[in-house]
Amino acid sequence: MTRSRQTADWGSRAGLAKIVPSSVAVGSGTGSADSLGTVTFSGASSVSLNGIFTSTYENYKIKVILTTSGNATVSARYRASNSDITSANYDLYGFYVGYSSALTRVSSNGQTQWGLLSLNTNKGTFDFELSQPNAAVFKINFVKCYSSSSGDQVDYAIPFSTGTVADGLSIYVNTGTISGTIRVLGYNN
Amino acid sequence: MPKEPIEITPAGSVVPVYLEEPTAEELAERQAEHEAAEAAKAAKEATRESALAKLAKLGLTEEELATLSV
Repeated sequence: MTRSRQTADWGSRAGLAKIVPSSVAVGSGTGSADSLGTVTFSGASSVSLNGIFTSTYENYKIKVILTTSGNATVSARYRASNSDITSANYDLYGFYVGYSSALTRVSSNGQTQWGLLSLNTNKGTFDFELSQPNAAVFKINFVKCYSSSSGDQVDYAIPFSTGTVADGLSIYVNTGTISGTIRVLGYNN
Repeated sequence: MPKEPIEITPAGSVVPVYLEEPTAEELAERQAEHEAAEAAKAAKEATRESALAKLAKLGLTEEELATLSV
């Protein structure tokens, strides 16, 4: 049986578009961005990508791969006009499961950052799905995080409970430094 | 007081890169966040240890409990 499927001719607007930040800031160490938008950083206490969210795209995917220099919690914050947004509007709801620990519910709201995952000199991946960061609306986001050596995994909804418009994102550790890459992709509208 | 960013753009970067060192207040705040996260982790572990101790008193292991259907 032949099944017909209706498709739209999106041409160059199909799929995901790579986004190059307007600038990068590191708290220490080094950073760099190539023409494909891959941001590479090393020995950084924080890495901030400016000018990645605009009105061109409504929704974004961000892929972060990093290694910590020691035992540290990796956190994230939105940015606006080259500065972190530090208002108490970062919420986090979901679950945490480890290789040797049971499923645990996590629920916190009104924080000044998203505290995502602790890593101890091992590699972690952070996959963000961000909705409408550049719009003046309550933002509903999701993130999946995984620790390569401990097997810890988290799956969170990370709403941002204010209409503040964001144009960038910071990733930082509470102690020590991080090294890795960040890629930002925009979903064509 | 925030420090002025210093441009450190390396050869090969297609956008400017700046060094923005955190202030003492930001460092203290991050340390407090880290300690809070560690305390929460320790509390979860303590709860798990307590539950395992209770299971042991019942003569059950964690693996045996996992095989029980509710």
